[in-house]
Order: sequence, then C-alpha cells, then structure tokens
Amino acid sequence: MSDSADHPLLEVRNLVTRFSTQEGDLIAVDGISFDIERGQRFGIVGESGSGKSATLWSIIGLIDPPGSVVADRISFDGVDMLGMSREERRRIRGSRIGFVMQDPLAALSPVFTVGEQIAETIRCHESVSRSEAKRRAIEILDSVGIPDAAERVRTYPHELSGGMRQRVAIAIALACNPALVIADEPTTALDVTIQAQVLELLEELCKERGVAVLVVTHDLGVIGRFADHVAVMYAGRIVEQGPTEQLLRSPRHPYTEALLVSQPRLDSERRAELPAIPGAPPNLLRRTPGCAFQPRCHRSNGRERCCEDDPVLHAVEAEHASACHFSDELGEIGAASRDG
Amino acid sequence: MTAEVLLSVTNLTKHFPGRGGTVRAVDNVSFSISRGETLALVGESGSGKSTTARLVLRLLEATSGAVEFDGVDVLHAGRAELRTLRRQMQIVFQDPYASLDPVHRVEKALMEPFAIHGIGSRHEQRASVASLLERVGLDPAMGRRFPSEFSGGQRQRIAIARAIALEPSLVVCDEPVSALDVSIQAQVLNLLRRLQIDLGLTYLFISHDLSVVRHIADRVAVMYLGEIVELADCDAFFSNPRHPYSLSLLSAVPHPDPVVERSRDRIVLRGDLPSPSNPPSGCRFRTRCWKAEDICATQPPLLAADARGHAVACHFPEGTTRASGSGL
Amino acid sequence: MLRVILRRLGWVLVTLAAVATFTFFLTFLLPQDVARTIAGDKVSEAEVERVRQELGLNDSPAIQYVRYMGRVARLDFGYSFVNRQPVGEIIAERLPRTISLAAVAIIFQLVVGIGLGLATAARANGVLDRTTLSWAVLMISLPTFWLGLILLYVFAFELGWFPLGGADSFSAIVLPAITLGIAGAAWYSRVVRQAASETLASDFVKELRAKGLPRRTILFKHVLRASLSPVLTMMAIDFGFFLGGAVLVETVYAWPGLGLTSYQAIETGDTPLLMACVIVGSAFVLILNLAADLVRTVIDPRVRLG
Repeated sequence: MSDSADHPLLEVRNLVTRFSTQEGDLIAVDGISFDIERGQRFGIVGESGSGKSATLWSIIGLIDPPGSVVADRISFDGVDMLGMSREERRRIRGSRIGFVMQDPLAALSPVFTVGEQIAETIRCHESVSRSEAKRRAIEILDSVGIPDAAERVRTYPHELSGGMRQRVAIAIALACNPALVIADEPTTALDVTIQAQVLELLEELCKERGVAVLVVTHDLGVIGRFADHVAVMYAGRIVEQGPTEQLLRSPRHPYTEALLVSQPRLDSERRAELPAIPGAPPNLLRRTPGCAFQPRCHRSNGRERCCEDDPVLHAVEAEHASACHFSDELGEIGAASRDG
Repeated sequence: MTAEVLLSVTNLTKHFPGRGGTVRAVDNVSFSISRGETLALVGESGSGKSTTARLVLRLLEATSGAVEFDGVDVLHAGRAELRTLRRQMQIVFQDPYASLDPVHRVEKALMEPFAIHGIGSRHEQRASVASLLERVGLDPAMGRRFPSEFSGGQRQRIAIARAIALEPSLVVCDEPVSALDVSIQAQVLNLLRRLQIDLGLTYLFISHDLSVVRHIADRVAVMYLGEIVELADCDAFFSNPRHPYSLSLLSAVPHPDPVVERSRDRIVLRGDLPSPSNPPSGCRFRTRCWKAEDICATQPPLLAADARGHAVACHFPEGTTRASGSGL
Repeated sequence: MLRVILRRLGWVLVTLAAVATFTFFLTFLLPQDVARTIAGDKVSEAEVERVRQELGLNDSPAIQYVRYMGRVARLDFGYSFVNRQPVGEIIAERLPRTISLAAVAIIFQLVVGIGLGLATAARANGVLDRTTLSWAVLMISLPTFWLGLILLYVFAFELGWFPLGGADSFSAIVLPAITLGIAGAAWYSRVVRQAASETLASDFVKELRAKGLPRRTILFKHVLRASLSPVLTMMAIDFGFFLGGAVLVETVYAWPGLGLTSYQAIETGDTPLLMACVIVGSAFVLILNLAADLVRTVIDPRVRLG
C-alpha cells in the first residue's frame, strides 16, 4: 500500500455498469465519479433503479454477467482495482472493504453459528488458528454491542432478533479491520427504534476505528443523520453531490429539492397537499436526450435546454456540484418549515 | 368530538397458540373512529397493529372483545350480514405487487367487486371501472393492461381503486406507502387525502412511519406488544407525546436536516422487543424504559385519558408541554 | 429432543406392528396349505392334520395372531420349512450382503448425484448441464432390470470385467450397485442442481462473496450444505428400500441378499420367510426416515423434529 496522504481512500472515475437484456442494454450506472476520504461517512441516496446498489456491487467487483463494468479508474487506497485479478480483488473484499447488506436474515447463512461465520471471514483472509479466530469473533461481537458475546457466538442467526442480526452482519464486515465499510440500505429492513440503534453503532465505529463508511439508502433522514457527504443518484447518474448539510439545506438540483419537500416530516405543515413529484422514474433501456429528470421536474417547464442538452455535474460551490442547467435558480428551502 | 362513531372496538383480544406459549398478539385493545376521521395505528413489527386491522375486518377471528361497525356487531355477524359489511369495509395492503393477480387485466380486477356483489350490467361495470381509474389518477384506457405493466405507485392506485369501488365507508390502509419509492409516496398520500375529502371516507391507517402518520391522521394510537399505550389527537400527540415509548419512536425518526438532527436529544432504546408469548410483567415496555421503577414491574398501567382526551398507559407519563417541533 | 426421538421411535414400533398385523392376515388369503407344504405331498391327511395341530394352525385366527405377534416381538420369525432352517438365521446370513450392496449403491448415488448437481449448478446451461439433463431423463425412465441385463451383458459377458453374478468376489458388487444407484444418482443430480442454483442466487451467497470467500469454499461448504437437505430425505428413503431388498437387481445379478430371498420366498411359498423379509424391510425404511430427520436437524438448525 502506498502513502495514505496523497490520495483518497476510494476513487471512482466514470464508472459505467450495464446489463445486457433481451430488449437491449440497460445502463444501470452511467458514468459516475466520486471520492471517499479516510474515515469519511459518505452517503448515496436514490430510489430503486437509480443505480445506487449497482454502484456498490461494481466497486467490489461482484457484477455478474450479463452485467459488465467499465470505468476510467476505480482505485482503493491508491491501488487500481480494475487491473486486479479476480483473486486479488477477492482478497480485498471482506478484509479491506467490509460489506453490510439490507436484510441480515437473508444475508447470513442459516446453518452456521454467528461465531463460525465471523471466524470464517477472519480465517479466509488471515492465517490464524481456529481458537484465535473464535476469540476475535467474540471480541468483535462484543464491540458491536452484543451482550454475552461469548455465549452468542454459538447461536444461529434465526435465534436472534433483527437488530441483533444486523449487528452480527456489521461484526462480519469489521472482522478484518477494514478501511472501508459499504452498507447497502442497512436500516431499511429494521424497525425504527432498531434503525436508530444501528445508525448509532455505525457512527461510533467511524469515530472509534476511523473506518470510512459508504451508506446507500433511499431515506434522506438516514443521510441527514449519518453522512458527512452525500451523492444523489437519479437514473444511473449523480445529479447532485456535496457536504450533507449544505446539500440538504440548499439543494441545487430540482430532484433533491423535490424529494425533500415531497416527504412529510415531523415538522412540516400537516395535512396540506404534499408537493409530490409527478410521474415515475424513467426507463433505463430507452434513454431520451436531455435531462433524465426533466419530464418530472417542476422547474423545467419544458425549457428547450432541459429537453435537449444532457446536463453535466458542475461545481456550484466549493465541494458542492449539481447536474442541472438551472442550478442557479435554486436556493435554500423552507427555512420557515425547518424552524416551525 | 360530537361526530357520529362509525367503528367502535372494545377490549379486542387475539391470542395465537405458539411454541413458547400463547402469543398475545392483540390484548384488550379499545378505540373508536368517527365518520370521516383518520385514526392511525402506529407501532413496530410485532406490535399487533396489522392483526388488529384484520380482526376488525374479520379476516381473522378474534379471541374475545367486540367490534361494532355502524351499529352492526361485526364479530357475531352472520354470513349475509358479513357480506354487506364487507362492502362497507375495505382494505389496501402494503405490497401492491402481491395484491393484484398477475394473469388478469386490471379492468377485470376492478370489475370483480361489482361482479361479486352483482351490481350493474357488464356494460355499467365497465363504465364504473373507467371512472374509478380516472378517480385514482390513471388513464381509463390502462384498464386493458396487465398488472406487470404498471409501476409500484400505479399498482397501489389500482389497489386503492378496487378498495373504493363499492363506495365503502371505512378503508383500512395497511402500510399503503411503505413499499413505494420515496418520490411516489407523496402522490399516493395526496390521493388518499383527496379521496377522503371527496368520498367522505373513514380511514384506519396502519403505519410504522410517524412522519406519514402526522401528515394524514386525525388521531393516533400507539401500540406496543399488543396493547395501546397512547391514544390522542394528532396535534396533542406530536406536540406533547406522553408515553416514553412514543417519545423514543419520535426520537428515532431521522430528520433530513442535519442541523436539526444534530441538535435534538436522541433517545435510543436499549434492547429489542420482548417475545409476545412471554411479555414482561406489569408494564410491557418497562424492560426498555429508562423511567421504569418497581411499580412498573408489578402493576400494569391502565390507559387513562386526561381532560382533553389524551390517553396514556404509563405510571410516569411525560407531563410538560413542549414547544411543537423543535424539541423533537 | 430426547423425548421427541423416543416418541418418534414409538411411532416406528406402532407402524411396524401394523405392518406385521397386515402381513399376518394377508397369509390367510394365500391359497396355500402350510401344513401340506411342510408335511409333503405324499403323506396322509391324518399326518397333515398332526402337523397342523403341532403348529397350532387349528386355533382361532385371534389366538394365532397373538402368538405370532409375541414371537415377532422377540424377533423370532419362526422356521422356514422350505429351507429347513430358522428364518432368523437366513435373514442374518443374507442381511450383510444386502447392507453392503445398499451402502455401495447409496454412496455411488450420493457422490455422483451431488458432484454432478454442484458442477452443473456452478455452470448452468453449459455442456455438462445439458448432457446430465438428458442422461437423467433417460436413467429415470429406464426399467432397472433392463438396465441391469444390459450392463451384465456388456461388462460381464462380453468384456468380462466383472463376474456374471453372485457375491463371491469384491468386484461382483460393482455392477449391481451401479444398476441400483444410477437412477437415483441422476435424480439427485437434478435435485441438487435445483437447490444449489437457488442458493447461488441468494443473498447469503452474495454476502459470502462480499466477505471474500474463495469460490470453492462457497460452493463446497455453504452451497453444498444448503442443498443437502432435500437429498438427505430422499437418500434415507432410498437406503431403506435398498435394505429392504432390491428384488429386481438382486435377482438379475443373483446377489444373495434380502431381495433375492424375498423373491425365492414368494416362488416357493415360504410364508414365514416372506413375512420376515417384509417386516425387516419396513423396519429399515422407517428407522432410516427417522435418522434422516435427525440428521436434518443437525445440518439445518432451523429444522425441528415434530
């Protein structure tokens, strides 16, 4: 590994992920770029079909045929991952990059104890003895807040509650002290009170272990709660990117803005008609010229530029970028509703 | 409230036999809904909110208790009475993918309610379907299509159209927007509100999402382990939640504004939901409650209402009125 | 757990008693005079009557039934007059043969079935996958005795690689075991392929890949274990059947096991022997079923004995 100071932990440049289908190529991820710094909490927010999950799988090299991944660069800790052999990439997965999936019940093997599943991860990346791996499994379980870890290593996933299972999944992701943990909708399958626990845990881990976390979610609340930096995806592209606070307070893309105002909040005006986003996300098989969000955009009003020119992500402020031709027209939203 | 009570539920109880003993899925639940009102049942998985809805509709048979709908004893209604009741009480499910038969055209799915109850000629039924589709914001020509050709949001509109086909007075909405994409949820919530105003519908709205509940409900009932722990008008509930569990639920809803999010005090509950087959003695919430004292383990708190009808089942309810919004 | 096992064992005994009862009353329907068979054709009716008296055949069916069940309970299956030998001895002599044949056949079936199943699941729709599918269809539809005769002709008669029959040499077991197991192997390979394909597409395999496990570990540790459950149940039933005596295969290869014994017992009207074969065979089927359920609880901790 090279010197850690001169490059970001994860560098993604012009990533394109496509799936060939009978009806033609589906471009799930369409040329996105972003960096994740060491210890950063990075969020990607988007709806189903926005390409957010495909982005994650592409990064760790788990897109199977008929899918294919091309990029100018995907580098992790300064090392180009695209040029790696399958075996080299496998060695990074689970050791340097941990992964947490949405539904821990589906993601954990039903037939091995949680201890075995953690120890297995350790033993496939490091040459340690069985007993040492087991000792470390207990230690990790304990550190993710599982009471009686020494006892719990012997339980099977189905014997644990949803929140406990997600903690186990996080423990597996952390088993080999990764520099980056990627979490795909880590709270979506959980109850609200358990969601709060899991987010708090991830937050602590970032602080205590200096792990960078990439969280993918559809929930702006999770982003606001957790991420320092956020990328908003729509139809396979990043339409807006920036520091979370700035982006959520003064979004510079109409899609972000619409998402924020269309959702009822605990402090928004009650019972009024919500400013809903009309229509549905576009068909990724048939991309039309112009901005992908244009048909649903409340600001476009059919302006020619929106229908014809593909907008590109451009800086609107330091670190804050938007892919809207008219990003200047947007500003801080609803200060009243926030203070209300 | 002086409005006419449409649905009244008294001491409704459902016990399921389970491996580890009887599961008390719903335990002594009482509430009523006035005509044209929306009551939200809020809770996490295992709270018994969906079971309660199914008991009310008699999709499940209750162990004990009473349900009265528009003067009719639902739990003891005979076959014929139940048939009439079913026209009056409809349900919209969470998953619009599972609730529509994939091999039937949407038109057929929507004509079904008319056919079952023998209403109108085929021609009239067709005309009704067209106007229903229009009412839920879909092109009537779309009736010729199959469910697979629709997006999740459109399917939920179809499910809603089917529920309102026979002009029911009560619609049970079981997590109607939870499975939908965020950009679609607002559309469906708006539709539900508009339909309520236009058709005078009464909603029993089941949800785990307090932001949605706050937006749509008139009154809120919070359920925990099969029991209602708090029942209040929406404004009163959100400005002044009194049960510790309600407080923790509200605190758990993440806020998209990081500044607000960082500034509020967060209550993160310890532990998980206890098993409903072996609930804690006394107050069922006490094992996760930061206010629990000895009395909580011995004496189950009763749901008691204050002068303004704000009911809470807690020995140490929150009393102070807090400023709306900012404190959450 | 122990209580559940004991209860299930109790049911095995009840079922066996039912089987014994059923076979007992079935013998009354046979158009056979046991006493005459024993005494021989040339003796007088008085002599036959004496044998009948001696064997208690004149007693009421109820008394005979109680006596019979009492003996069966003590594992005393009576005397084979045809073979002039106690039935128990015959069974004890033939059973090991059948066990070895059944075991080799089952191992063949498992190894080939699981191996091909995993291999085809890992490369779905490849050449191997398509070949196995046609092979499976062919093997499942071919009659066993016919396949047995073909193998016997080609490998024993023409090529002379294996003996023509009997159980005298070690290599004699190969052909009967393959004949017995080949249809099962084909069937298992499809079942395993189906289960393994489903597992390979599941979230937990995604998670295993994300954990960085090597492909072979994923396949041979996790996917294999998740795909074993359906095969185990099938295997237990098959093994039970094989132990009960694979009548056709043992007959074709003159393999002196329980199957051949049953066949001979039917031919010679050796009722006590036939009854013993039926009861022993049923016992194996039942006990192995229970064993399979037990093993499944070990393989998949979510499964509980009920």
